[in-house]
Amino acid sequence: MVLVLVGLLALQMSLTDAMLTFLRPGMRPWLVGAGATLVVLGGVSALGRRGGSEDHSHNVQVGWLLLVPLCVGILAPTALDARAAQRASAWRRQAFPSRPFDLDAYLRANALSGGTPRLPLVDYVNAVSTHRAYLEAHPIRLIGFVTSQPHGGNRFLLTRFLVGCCAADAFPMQIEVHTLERPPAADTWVEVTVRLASEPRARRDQERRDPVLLAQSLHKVSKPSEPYEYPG
Amino acid sequence: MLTEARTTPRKAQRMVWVYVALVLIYQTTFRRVLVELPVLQNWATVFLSVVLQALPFLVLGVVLSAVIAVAVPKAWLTRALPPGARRDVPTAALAGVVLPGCECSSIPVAGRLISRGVPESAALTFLLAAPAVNPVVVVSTAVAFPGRPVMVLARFVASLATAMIVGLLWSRVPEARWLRRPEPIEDRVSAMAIATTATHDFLQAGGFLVVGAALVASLQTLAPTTWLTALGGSGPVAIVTMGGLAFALAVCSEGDAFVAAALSQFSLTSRLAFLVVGPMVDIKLVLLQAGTFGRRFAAHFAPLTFVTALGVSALVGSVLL
Repeated sequence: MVLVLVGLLALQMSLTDAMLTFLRPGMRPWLVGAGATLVVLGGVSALGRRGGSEDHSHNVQVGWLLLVPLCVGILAPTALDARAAQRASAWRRQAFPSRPFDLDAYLRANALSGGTPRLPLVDYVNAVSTHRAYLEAHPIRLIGFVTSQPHGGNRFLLTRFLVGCCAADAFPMQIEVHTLERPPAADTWVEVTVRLASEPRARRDQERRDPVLLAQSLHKVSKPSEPYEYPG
Repeated sequence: MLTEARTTPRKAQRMVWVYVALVLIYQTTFRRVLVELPVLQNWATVFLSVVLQALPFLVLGVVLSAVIAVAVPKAWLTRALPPGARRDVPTAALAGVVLPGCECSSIPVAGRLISRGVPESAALTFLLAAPAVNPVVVVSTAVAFPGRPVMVLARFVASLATAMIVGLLWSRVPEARWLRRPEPIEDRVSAMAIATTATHDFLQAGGFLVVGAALVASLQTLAPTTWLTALGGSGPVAIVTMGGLAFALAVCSEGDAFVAAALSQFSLTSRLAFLVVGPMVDIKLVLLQAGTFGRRFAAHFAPLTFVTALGVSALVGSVLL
């Protein structure tokens, strides 16, 4: 009984985009397989019990704890938010994880479509050290959610979580954006067109040499179906 | 027997009603609490992601182990392993390298191997080696530490050494002194026997997984951040701290390299300790082991593995990193 329910939860999650709140997309076939196996297993052993051929060994009391994830699953928790980002960045230094990325090739491939190129935040953050001059001269579109800063004003942290395997290892990538108007409230998903501020200004603004972005335009977007970004 | 057969469907019916009632309570009251407390939102997300991430590997593990328990003849397994801990421990470690397993699937498999007559030391070496050194883990470590291939080598060497040292030490412990052998569920070879065994093992391990996931989520989203900001540094303190962090965070072995790469305030050696300890001892795994092999086993095996992993990491780190 419990097995069938857990299996159905896994199937429901994996056949919709619900699982992307928790796991990287590569886990989808695994989760489908696990869900289907659980439904079959649960069904077969329930049939066996009905046939009366079984013994007492099924009373695994602790198994009922599996109802807890079911209940939590029904609540449909949302993707990790600004609060989680603040918590995580409070104790993890901002060493941005990188992934192999060739900005030149990416831009060449995107040049044909015209318009401002859009980059995943993780690739932009990596390009800051490798292609600073280009990013200072050319606008790029980025998508992320807003994390407010304590000193507020016309600045916020554009945030996106990098997920290696599941949300338990999520790492917040945050990059400071200066806007012309007051930025939207925390947890708002936005698309910003930004240019990288040249180095001296960034250094004056903050003692650390974290990159600072200047927003040319900003508009709200709906939350992407893949709320996280993934390395490799 | 007859009465039980008659009561089981009724029991199942009752459980459905309990479940429906729980859902109603959740939907009406708890849901509102959850919406108003964003901390709980993140708790729920981390909790469920740990459960869902482990689920496929746990299912794979219990099905594989049920096949071992029911269908593989005892004689075949004992013949496949060379006799004596000096030879069967390295063989088991190598089997762990070849078979890509997750920490959650290797526990039930090791349990059924033991109940089929494989020496505890060899089965436990496999349990430790399979999740720590396999192709998937090697690749993800290489991706997380670009330009530092030596980290991959260090992780591989340290994990393999830890698994084998713990296996050899455990071979001096008399069989079944602390470890509770999983009982054979069925003696006949049939699809039904496999399903019954797998169901039993899944319920057992799954229940403990839920407790582990809840603890992990609480530490990650509810524990005061000052606990964690106080950490840092280098030297032996950092190694112990990172080992403790790996124990508390319980990140799966395919994703932990990314976390380690991001924790740049720690020395490379201490991050190696994080990577070696993580797949072998963490909250979730200790609970899974307690569920499969009994509490007394977990109380002895987890500290032994933890200390060995730290020692080996310090040694390998000082030579390689």
